Amino acid sequence: MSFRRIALILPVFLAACQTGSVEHLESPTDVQSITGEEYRLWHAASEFDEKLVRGHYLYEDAELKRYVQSVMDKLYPEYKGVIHVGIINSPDLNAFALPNGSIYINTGMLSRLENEAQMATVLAHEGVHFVNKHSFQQRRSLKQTSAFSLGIGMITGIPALGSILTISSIYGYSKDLEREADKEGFRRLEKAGYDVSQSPITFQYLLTDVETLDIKQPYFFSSHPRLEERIESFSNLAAKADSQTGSSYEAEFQAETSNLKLELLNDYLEIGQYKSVLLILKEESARKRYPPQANYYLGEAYRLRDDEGDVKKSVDAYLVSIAAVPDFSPPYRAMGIHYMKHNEPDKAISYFTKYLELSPHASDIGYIKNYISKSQSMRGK
Amino acid sequence: MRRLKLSLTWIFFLFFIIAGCTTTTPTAKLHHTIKNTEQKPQLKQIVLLPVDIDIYELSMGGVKEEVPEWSSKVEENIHQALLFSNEGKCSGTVHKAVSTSDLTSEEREILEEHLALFSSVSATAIWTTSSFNKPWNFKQDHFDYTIGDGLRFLKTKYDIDAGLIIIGEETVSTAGRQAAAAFGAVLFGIYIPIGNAVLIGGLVDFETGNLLWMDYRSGGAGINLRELDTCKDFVEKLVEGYPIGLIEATSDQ
Amino acid sequence: MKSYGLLIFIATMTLVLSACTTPAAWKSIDAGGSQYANEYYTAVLPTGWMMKDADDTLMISRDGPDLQRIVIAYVSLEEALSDEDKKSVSKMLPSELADKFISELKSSQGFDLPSLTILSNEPIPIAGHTGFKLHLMYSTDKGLRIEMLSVGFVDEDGFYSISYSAPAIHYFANDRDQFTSVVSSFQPK
Repeated sequence: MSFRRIALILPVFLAACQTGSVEHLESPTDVQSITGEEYRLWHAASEFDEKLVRGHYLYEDAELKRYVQSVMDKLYPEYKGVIHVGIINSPDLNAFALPNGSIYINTGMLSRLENEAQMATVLAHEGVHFVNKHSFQQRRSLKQTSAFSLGIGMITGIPALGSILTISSIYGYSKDLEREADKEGFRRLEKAGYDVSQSPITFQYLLTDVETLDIKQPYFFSSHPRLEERIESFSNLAAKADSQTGSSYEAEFQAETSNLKLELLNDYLEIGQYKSVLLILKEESARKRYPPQANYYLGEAYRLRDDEGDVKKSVDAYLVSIAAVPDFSPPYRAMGIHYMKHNEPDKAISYFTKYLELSPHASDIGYIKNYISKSQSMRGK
Repeated sequence: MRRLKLSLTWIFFLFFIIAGCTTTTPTAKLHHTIKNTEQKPQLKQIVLLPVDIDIYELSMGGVKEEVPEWSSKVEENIHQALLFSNEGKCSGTVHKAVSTSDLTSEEREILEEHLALFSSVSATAIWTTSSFNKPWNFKQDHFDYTIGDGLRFLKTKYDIDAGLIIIGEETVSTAGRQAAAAFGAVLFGIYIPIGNAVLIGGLVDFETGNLLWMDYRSGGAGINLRELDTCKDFVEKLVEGYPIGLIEATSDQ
Repeated sequence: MKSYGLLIFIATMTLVLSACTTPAAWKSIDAGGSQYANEYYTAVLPTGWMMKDADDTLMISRDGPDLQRIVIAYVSLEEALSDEDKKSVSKMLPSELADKFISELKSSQGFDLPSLTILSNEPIPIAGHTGFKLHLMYSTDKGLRIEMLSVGFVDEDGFYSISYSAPAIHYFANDRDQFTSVVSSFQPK
């Protein structure tokens, strides 16, 4: 590399170094005056919002959305009407903030939390990313980093790559920005009257799930090191907190989100991840956190795994579900299929009939009628 | 009107295989029902449907982001090129533009889905008629693409026969990236892409949904659609093969 | 050991945008050649369409794969599975096979999955077997709805699927009957 070449390249690096601090939002009305590069990011975020709607990514439950939004409004009252919370229908452990004030949390995340204080911890943390314009800061940094690496690329011949909006949701922000979000989010939790001792527990729960289920997703909240950082950060903050009182609102949270736990199990089975269901439900103590219908999903997971002894385990689980919630229909179908496969047509027909009685408009009614016919023809053979 | 994000990445790929940096070879397609016949349908009115153009800026490091104010500017330029020019080839191209504020939300949704379908149909039409896709080239002679008759409500509502759809995209490099490209080329022989533009146009018969005419134009980094004159030139090239013979002269044009 | 699920996924991958940019592989289905046969199955294909034959997967289209396509895929049990898995898969009920098909679609990447809606899921007699018939819909991020019909069944040799997908506007209804004809004519060997 000749000195002349370096001299020619240097201005390229310098031109890329657009420094200058990014001002946080001081008040909600500041959003009306964003311009230039920041406006582009806002626009891209709005397009992302529309894409989520058009692609039917969102979990449509008005009551749940109202509840989650109300918690956000409690944490950021001055930003009511500016910060909008959406719920994404996905079993993944993820939550993220967009630069335009849209904050999203996955059903997979919500179903794993125990109480409102834990949910508020996540929302408060994400809210800081918006108010302090972390996306914009990160983006500027990315452009500079990319420019620098393009410069390197010019020397090495390897082209630079860049990502846009989702980089923050997937990889999070720098350590400093994340700690800033922890600290200021924690203050919001205290001010809103939440039990701050729940904040490190939030991430301990998530970390346990990540380890137990061996989750290898690229998201910030699924990252082992990132979760450990949060536990350390919030533990330190909680230890220094002025007040150790506060509420966790567990009953309210469970009432609003109990359906999500069953949906999480269903979502896992729908994508073939029966092992995750087994890991979640194998301990009785863990099963107690789920509604009793969860036993049906446990039965399905045993059936799909089909190891030695699993047939009996699946039947036992179905029967527990039936005993606990007699009008929950899926285990009756499962029992009917079990007996049909084991050449006991009378029992099969009995369970299928009960299933159709409880779910006369079931989407799989065609199959069940077919199986009843098949079982009837098996009689007398 | 929500903006439809148009991903034309693979169309750019096709363009650069087919035609290099700037297309000049004839690429206009006419629907087979009007191509070889003396009797062309007489269209009383043609409107410009909402133009969907996305202008991106490419940073030095390859970060690409839409610049909404540029996109709006180019859409406005295209309106001017097609609607207000009374000279040259664009004369009489379209009579007016559909304003989405005239439509109900249901009508807007239908329109937007049909524009999304046009994106797929046009991409397919370009693919099947490209010179390297010989097995499918029968589509060039028997061009029969359609977006269905779901936009017939526009014919009824506005007494309009057909709509002109323009979609496209332009990528503009920052000064820093352009400088880096120059350095890279001169010093290291490295190619760094710095920009391109593509416009696709289609004339849709609202009664049948048939694509009566379709064409596309692409250009390299020298194109700047934000400049009105440049945009007008580019649009004029796009509509070179426009079947103006279809349009019945009316006194109120 | 390969997983059966992975091979179903490979078969269904043909439903997403892929493998249509190698135009040299396409050829016309003319009137004299609409009876198609390979070592695994036979079917009557619609004349005037184009076909692309790649190993165990056949794709046909009239206007271009993004506007409509019918894909016939075959996955051999012999090659895919251990002896134990072969036994359980060959005994799968049609509803279980449908669930497996859906789970592979949902867990495959690059597919507009969150919006995947099951419009109907029912048994269907096909080639002397009872299979599944799924009617699905999803939306692209541009808001274009895509409809799919997928029929599948398993016999002692393998898993067969025939799928039809097209934009919901105009195109899906247009060639639905062609799909029905292909399914009716389908015979494993």
